[in-house]
Amino acid sequence: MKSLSDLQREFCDALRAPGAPSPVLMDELLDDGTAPERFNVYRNNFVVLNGDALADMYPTIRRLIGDEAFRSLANRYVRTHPPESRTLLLYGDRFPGFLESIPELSRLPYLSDVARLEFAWTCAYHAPDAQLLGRDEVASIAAETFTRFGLEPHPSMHCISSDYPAYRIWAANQEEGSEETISLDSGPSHILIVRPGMEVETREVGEGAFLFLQRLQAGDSIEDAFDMAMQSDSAFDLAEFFAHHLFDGTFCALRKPRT
Amino acid sequence: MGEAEISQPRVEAPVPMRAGVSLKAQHYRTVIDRHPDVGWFEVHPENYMGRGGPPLGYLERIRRDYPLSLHSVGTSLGSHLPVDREHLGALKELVDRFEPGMVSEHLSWSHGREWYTHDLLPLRYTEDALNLVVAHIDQVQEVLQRKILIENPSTYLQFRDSEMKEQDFLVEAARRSGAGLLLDINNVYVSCSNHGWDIEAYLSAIPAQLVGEIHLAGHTVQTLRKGTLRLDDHGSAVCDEVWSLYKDCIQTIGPVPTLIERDSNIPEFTELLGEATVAGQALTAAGEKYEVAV
Amino acid sequence: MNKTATKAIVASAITTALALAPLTGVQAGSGDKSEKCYGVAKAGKNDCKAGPGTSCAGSSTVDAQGNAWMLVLKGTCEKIVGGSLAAK
Repeated sequence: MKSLSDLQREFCDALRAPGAPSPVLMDELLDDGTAPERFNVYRNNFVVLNGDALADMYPTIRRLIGDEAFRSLANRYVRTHPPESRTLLLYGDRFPGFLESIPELSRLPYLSDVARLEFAWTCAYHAPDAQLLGRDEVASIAAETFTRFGLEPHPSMHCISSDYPAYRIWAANQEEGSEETISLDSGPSHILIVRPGMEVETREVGEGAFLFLQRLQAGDSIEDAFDMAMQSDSAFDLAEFFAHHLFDGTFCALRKPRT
Repeated sequence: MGEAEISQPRVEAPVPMRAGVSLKAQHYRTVIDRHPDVGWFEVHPENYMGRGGPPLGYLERIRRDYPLSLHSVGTSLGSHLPVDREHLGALKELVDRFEPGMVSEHLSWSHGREWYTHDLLPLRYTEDALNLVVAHIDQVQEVLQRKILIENPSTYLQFRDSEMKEQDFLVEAARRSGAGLLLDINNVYVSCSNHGWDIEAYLSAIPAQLVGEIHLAGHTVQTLRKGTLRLDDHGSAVCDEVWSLYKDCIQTIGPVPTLIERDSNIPEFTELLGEATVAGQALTAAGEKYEVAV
Repeated sequence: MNKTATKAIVASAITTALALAPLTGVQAGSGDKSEKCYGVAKAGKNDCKAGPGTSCAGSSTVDAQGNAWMLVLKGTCEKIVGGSLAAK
């Protein structure tokens, strides 16, 4: 009789392996001739139920490649990247990189970026709630000192950039039966995901706004973030950006200047 | 979540002697808008361990109007590995925040390597496994500062070297740890059928005073090379045999808060409500008879 | 861009944003969470059900045969066209 710990390790290894369970494990089971089928129930549970969680995380990828291909990839992913957390809320964090490693998918180079977008969407969905930046807080600061302040993006904010039109690909697949044709030549995209209230918002922004937000998220002052954004995108219009996004839930607080 | 939500008045915490229903995301809106006459709801805490967002928002809102039970699937009581303190901490946070009337977990394990299976795996019923389960229940109860209920599992295989019957293992684990039992009648039916165990013997080994909750669910049947296997897929209505076992059971042990579980093929809420009504009527009947008998 | 110019642009952008009429509705902050606004309800992923049982769904060898493994792509990816694809 194997020790409890050896038995459980053996059981886990067999759940992950696609072939027949090891004779060592089978020897531990009561067998009336149906033990392999009975063990299969657990292996199917492991692969399929965790695969279902992955399908729930990546509905757009599934739509893009079809159910059959997705299930095949999911089976492989579950076996090679079994869940590392006690909950399945964010299972699949390494799926974008996994997609990049699959030779058959090299014709779809945008896939991993769309997957990154989907993962960020669910992260935002489960992110902490936060108060939003209020007018009073901003109005209490003297205008000429603003540059030295930082802006705290909402904790749910994620910035995703892609060399491909990942946003349009994602958006076109949010509804069943979209017939929109998208050209990969339509250029890169910069995507902002944030959940100011209870709805996750996904939007495409200009490169300047994207860099500005990324720098603010990294802790830069408004001044430094703005300079960085202007260096890459001289068309970045801060007045227009703030008019739309300063109080729309993109930010949750002012960050005091470093002294 | 805003503090305003937490301070909202809420109904009494204890789960009433009525039928409850699994709370599924598909039914959040129906429950909030139509306020159906259901005794209580049950959720898996693992689905509410995010840091914020809609799931916690909905649960807060629904908790204002209904008692709640937390039915964990992640503590892995039978695992050779230690109970995960982080997970236990997250569970404690939910218990403090939602003040559930009951907290329960399965007699199973899910964690045997450095990764998680997210399934409820079968135990080899031996003395060393019993000691381990008891120690883990003790630990969970100590952190949560409350008694939990342990549920009998649906299993599909048995270990050659099991030394005791599942029902004896279960009852002994509860006795030694001071935990109560969550008696899943469908699981008893499924496991007894899968392993050729005697249902009467199983149920008669369960002391009435230990049972704090009953689960009812549907299952499917698959054909094996030899015989059949019942699968606890929670994907259909409770079958007649399980209803009959349930009614007999509560006539014997007295009424116990009963949950209608559904985890796949989620139907319209009214369908689950219909099953809860049947269970509710059986509880009332059992209550009347039990009072007379006692 | 020099510091003075940056300072002026930032100050002016913020002053303009402050002067705009506040948006109404959910933008007002987390205090205004009407019952209609709990957001999309995604199904919970952890549960205690059994999956496909003894079928070959999860133990299929199709996805695990190493070299023989092939993906049949049958989705909306056909709608995505362009030179980058041809170049590959």
